Amino acid sequence: MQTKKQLSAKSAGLIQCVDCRKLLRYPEMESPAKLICPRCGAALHPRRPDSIAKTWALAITALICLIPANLFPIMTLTYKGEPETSTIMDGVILLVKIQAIPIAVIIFIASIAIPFLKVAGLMTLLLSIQLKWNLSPRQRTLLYRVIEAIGRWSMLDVFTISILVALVELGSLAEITGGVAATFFCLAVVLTIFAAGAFDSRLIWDE
Amino acid sequence: MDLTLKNEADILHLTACHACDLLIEKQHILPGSKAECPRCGSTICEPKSDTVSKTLAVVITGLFLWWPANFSPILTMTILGNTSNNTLMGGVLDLYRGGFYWVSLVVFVCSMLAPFAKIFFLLSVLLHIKFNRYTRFLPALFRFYEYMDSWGILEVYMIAILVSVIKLVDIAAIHAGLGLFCFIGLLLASILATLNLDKEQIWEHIEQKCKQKNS
Repeated sequence: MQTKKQLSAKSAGLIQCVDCRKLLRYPEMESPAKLICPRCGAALHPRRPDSIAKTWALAITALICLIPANLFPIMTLTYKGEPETSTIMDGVILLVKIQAIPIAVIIFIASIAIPFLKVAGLMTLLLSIQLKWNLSPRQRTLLYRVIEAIGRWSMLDVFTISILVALVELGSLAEITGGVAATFFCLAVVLTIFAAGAFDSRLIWDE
Repeated sequence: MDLTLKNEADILHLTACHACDLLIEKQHILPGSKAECPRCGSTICEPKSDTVSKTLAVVITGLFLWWPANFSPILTMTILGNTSNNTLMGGVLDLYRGGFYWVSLVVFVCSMLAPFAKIFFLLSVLLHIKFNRYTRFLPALFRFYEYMDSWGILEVYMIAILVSVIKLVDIAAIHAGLGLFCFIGLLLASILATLNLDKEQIWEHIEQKCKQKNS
C-alpha cells in the first residue's frame, strides 16, 4: 500500500519538466514523445528516455578512455634541453618529492580517484536499479548528488596543462607540451559528465 | 497543445521533487531558508530576496571583467632573464597549435565560452524581467543559461592556476598579472550570481510575461 506521502508524480498521472521543474498533468491520449512544456518549451518525459542504456554506454566509453589516459604521458617538460615525459601518476609523485603534499593529494583525488570512482559509482547505481538491489534509496540519491557535484574537478589536470603550455614557452631553456594522454583524459572527463547528466535519479525510487 | 490551462487549479498547490519525483505540497518558505525533500533529502526550493536586482548587479560586474580575465596575462614567468606569460586565450591557442584540438575545444568551452554564455543569457533574461519586456525567445534564453551552468567551471581553473604556480615555483620566478585579479573577480561574480539566483522565481516571472502577451 502506498500512502499519500509516498506517491510519486508519475504514479499520480503528473509529469515534472526536467528543465524548469513545473508540475503538469500527464495527458492520457497523446504520445509522450511529442509533449512540450508550456512554460519553458523543453520536451517532457515522465522519465528521461533510455536513461539506463545511455548512462551505461557513456560510462563504459569513459572507462575505456581512462586506461590510455593513465598509461600514456600527459605532458613533456623540456628543461635546459632535456625532455622528460610524465604520466598523471608521475606528476603526483613529483609533487610528493618536492614536499607539496596537499597539492599532490588534490591532484591524485581530482585526476585519478574521482574519474574511476565516478564511473564505479554510476555503474553501482545502474546495477542496483536493473538487478533491484536492496540498497537504501536515500543513500543512492546522495551518491548520485556527490557524483554530479565532484565530476567537474577532474578537469583540473586539463586546465593545468593549458596554463603550463602557454606559460612555459622559452624554447630550449624550458618548454612544456601536452602528451597523448591529455586527449584521452579530457574525453573521459567529458564522457563522465555526460553520463551523470544522462542518468535519471528518479529511477532509484521507482518500484 | 496547452497542458496548463485545463487542469491547473488542482495541481497548483503541489510540487514534485526533481531528484526522486515525490509529490509534495507547496509550502511558504522564507527567503534565506530552504525546503528539503522529506524522502530523499534533495533541495526542493531555496527562495532568495531581490533576486533580479542583486543578480543583475553581479552579472553586469562579470560582463566587464570577462574580457580582461580572458585576454590579459594571468601569470608571468621569468627564468634566467627570459620572460613569458599566459592568458586564458593563449592556453587554448597553444593547445590547438600543438595538435590537441579536442582538448583545446573543451578548455575553450569550459573556461571562456560557457562563463561568457552564462553572463550573456542571464543578463538578457534579467533585463527583460527588470524592464518588463517580452520576446518569444525568453524561455529558451533561460534554458540555455541552465545548460551552460554545468560547463562553466571557473573555480576548477582557479585551482589549476595555483597548481601551476606550485609546479613552477622551484625553477622560475612567478608573478601575478592583471588578468589574475580580473579572473578572481569574474569567479566571485559568477559565484555570487549563482547564490542570488532564484530559478523558480525567474521561471514564474517568465510564465507571467508569456500569459500577459497571450491574453
